[in-house]
Order: sequence, then structure tokens, then C-alpha cells
Amino acid sequence: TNPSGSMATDNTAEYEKLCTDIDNELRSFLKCVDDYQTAHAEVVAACRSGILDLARARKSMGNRGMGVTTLQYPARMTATQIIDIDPENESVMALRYRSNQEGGYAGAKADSPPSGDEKVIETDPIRWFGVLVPQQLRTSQTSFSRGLQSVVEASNACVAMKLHYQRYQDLLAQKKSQTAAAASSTAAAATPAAE
Amino acid sequence: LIRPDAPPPAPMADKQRTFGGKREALICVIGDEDTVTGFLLAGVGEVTAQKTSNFLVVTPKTQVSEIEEAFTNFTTKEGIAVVLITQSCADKIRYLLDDYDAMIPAVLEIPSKDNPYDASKDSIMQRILKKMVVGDS
Repeated sequence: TNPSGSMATDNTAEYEKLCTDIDNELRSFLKCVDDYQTAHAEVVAACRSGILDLARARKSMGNRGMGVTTLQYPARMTATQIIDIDPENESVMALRYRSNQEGGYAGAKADSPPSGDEKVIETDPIRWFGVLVPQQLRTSQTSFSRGLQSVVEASNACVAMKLHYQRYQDLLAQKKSQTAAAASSTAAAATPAAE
Repeated sequence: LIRPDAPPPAPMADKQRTFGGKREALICVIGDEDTVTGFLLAGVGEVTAQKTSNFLVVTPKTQVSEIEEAFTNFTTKEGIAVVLITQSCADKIRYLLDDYDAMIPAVLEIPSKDNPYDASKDSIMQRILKKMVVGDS
């Protein structure tokens, strides 16, 4: 048996596994970059079409009523679209609709009518701008809602990208220290042999 | 009865809400009126009783310090997962975005009504390209 030989084999296997892990992390990082760019392009497209429809809606409404401005924002509002973050894995986020049962106020689909002194303050945010709003405003709302889903995908990809790159850097540092340790032990073993 | 030495209640946005074991968080928006209105229509807007909001409407009269304060506030406060900022606003506080490297909240640059999206100015894209081109020394 050759204990130093088996140790060398173990070290080689460990080194190869480390190299494989480095390649995997780099591959995952590049995949996340691709996912981020795809999702971000969808966000950009959704914003562009949403803003265009908003301009059309504003033109359609003209001077009728108060238009579509910040003056129509209510004094109190509660977000109906929120993000749930997995506490164990912060790179996993999901978009969720929050109904009034959870403390917010509902959209048009309230599950149960308010009872007693309960007050459901608002419904669909589009109602801030009037009851009969132009179709372009609804289309704009749909575009931005679609964009929200892409925002969450892009955010997930961005966080995953940072995590994979950090792990890649850590593994690379580990590989460098192993290489340096192997080089110094080889040099130390060669010196007594030379003597 | 209120105890005189009791601490004041924390603002709603600072409390960590949970639902089904997961942490709830908001999406913040910094941008021009059209962009903010659009995302508010989608349902992300929140204004508390203490008048704290998760969006900032930037007009030509808005000072750079207000944008800086809003960005710093949104990126350091608990309960925020994503900060959307239009690229024209991001250009005014580019030094803050270049230094920002936290995981959460994620900061995404989006186009505004007047300026289309330019990937060469996006801090995240520039950082990725730098990592890929420069490599690991």
C-alpha cells in the first residue's frame, strides 16, 4: 500500500471536484445573467406600452374631469400587489395579491362585504381617475401589471446572479490556496531528496 | 392607558409583516409622474397614516437631495424587496447606484417617458460586464 499515493489520489479527486464546482457556479451565473436580461427587456417593453397608453388615455380624457395626474392620488392607500420573500432563501421572491382580509383593502373582488363599522376604503386604483375611464387607461394598467411579474423575475435573477458570483469567487479562492499549498508541499518534498 | 416611558409605535413600513411563514415586502418606485402613476395603477402604492409612502414622483423642480434621500430610505428600510428607478433619475444619483451592492432590495433601472432605456448606463449591467471582461485577479 502506498498511503502517500492514496492521499495524492484523494487530493486530485478533491481538486477535480472543486474545478467542477467552479465551472458549475460560473455556468449558473451566466444563466442568471441571461434570465435577468430577458426579464428586464420585458419590463422595458411593458413600461413603454403602458406609458404610451397612459398618454392616449390622457388625450382621450382631455380637459374633461381632472385628467390623470398626481392630484387624483388618495391620501391613504395600501398596496395590493406585494412580494413574499422566502426567509430561508432570499433569492426567491413571488408576487402576491393582498386582499382586505389581510389588513389591506381589496380590489374589485372582495370575498365578503364589510360588516358593522368596517370600512373598505378603496377598490381598483383605476377608480381614482373616475368611474367611466377610457379603455386606454385599462390597457395601460394591464401593461404595468404584466410588467410587475417581469420585475419580480428580474429581481430574482439579479439576486441569484450575485449569490452565484459570490460562491464562484469563494471557490476560486479555495482553489488558489489549495494550488499554493500543493506547490509548497511539492517544493518541501523535493528539497530533502536533493540533499 | 399609555405608559409615559413606552416607546413610540414603529411606522407600519418598518414592521416585518409575515404571511404563511414568508416575509412580506413592498415594491418602491422613483420616477416621473407617468411611470409612478402606471405602477400605482398596477397596485404597488402604499401611503400610511404617518404619510410615509413607497414612491417618489420626480418633477423638474425636485432637488437631487430629495432623490438621494428617497433612494437611501428605500434601500435601508425593512420591508422593501425591489426599488424601481427610472434611468433619468438614476443618472442624477449614479454614484449611489454604483456603490450599492446589497442583495435585497434589488434595484432595477427602467425607462421613463422622455428617455428610453440605455443598457450602457445601467449600473447592474456595467458591473456584470466588468466581472466578465476583467475576470478574476
